[in-house]
Amino acid sequence: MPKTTPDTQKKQQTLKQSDVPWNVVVLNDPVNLQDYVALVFKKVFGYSQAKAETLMMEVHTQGRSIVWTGGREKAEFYVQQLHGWQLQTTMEKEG
Amino acid sequence: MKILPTLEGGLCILPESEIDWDELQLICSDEDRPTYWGEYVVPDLEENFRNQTQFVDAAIKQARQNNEPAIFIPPAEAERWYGAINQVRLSLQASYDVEDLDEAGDLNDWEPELRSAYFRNRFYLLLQSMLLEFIMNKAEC
Repeated sequence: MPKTTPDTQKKQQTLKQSDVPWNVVVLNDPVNLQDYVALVFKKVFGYSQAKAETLMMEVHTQGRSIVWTGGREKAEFYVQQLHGWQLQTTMEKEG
Repeated sequence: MKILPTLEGGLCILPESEIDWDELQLICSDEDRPTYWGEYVVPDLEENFRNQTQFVDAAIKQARQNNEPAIFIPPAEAERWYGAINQVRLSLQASYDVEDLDEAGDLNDWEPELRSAYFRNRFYLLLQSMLLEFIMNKAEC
């Protein structure tokens, strides 16, 4: 088995770093309507009405909800999409 | 002011006085007030939000200047209206905490500016609810 070079180690670390799942988190706010938030979840993620409502209620009752988990790049895309719909959204590393 | 659903699946706003028209035009003037958006929004979205407001501003001004009896919101324009109104409500919330005023005691004791902000927020909320009920949620079905 070939010895790992520093370059390879770096690449592996980068890979591990990028493999860490990221959560897209929507935060509660006093302005957005419940129906609207559920509608946005359906539009952005393609969720069913039931799932969108469940997540919306989680935002409402718990102040936040993890609405999607996955790779960083896509998480950033979703955060921007949700900002575009005027939902307060952030992302965080899972775990 | 009356707001009615239309046969084509949109909404029709019928202002009944100059005050109603003023009320509608305030949708766009409040947008300049400070909000907490700066903490969340990347700069390129600001242009998108500005476009929503400019679009609604133009629609209201055009209808008023042409003495049209109503402003029609077709289904294709509902999201821009909703977004523009949301920005006003965010501004009113940032400036007056309007959503926390329901239990703030007797309206008559409030400063006129606060009372105005409260009623305007309630009106905008109603308009948003109708946009959702009669246009945006139906489009999703």
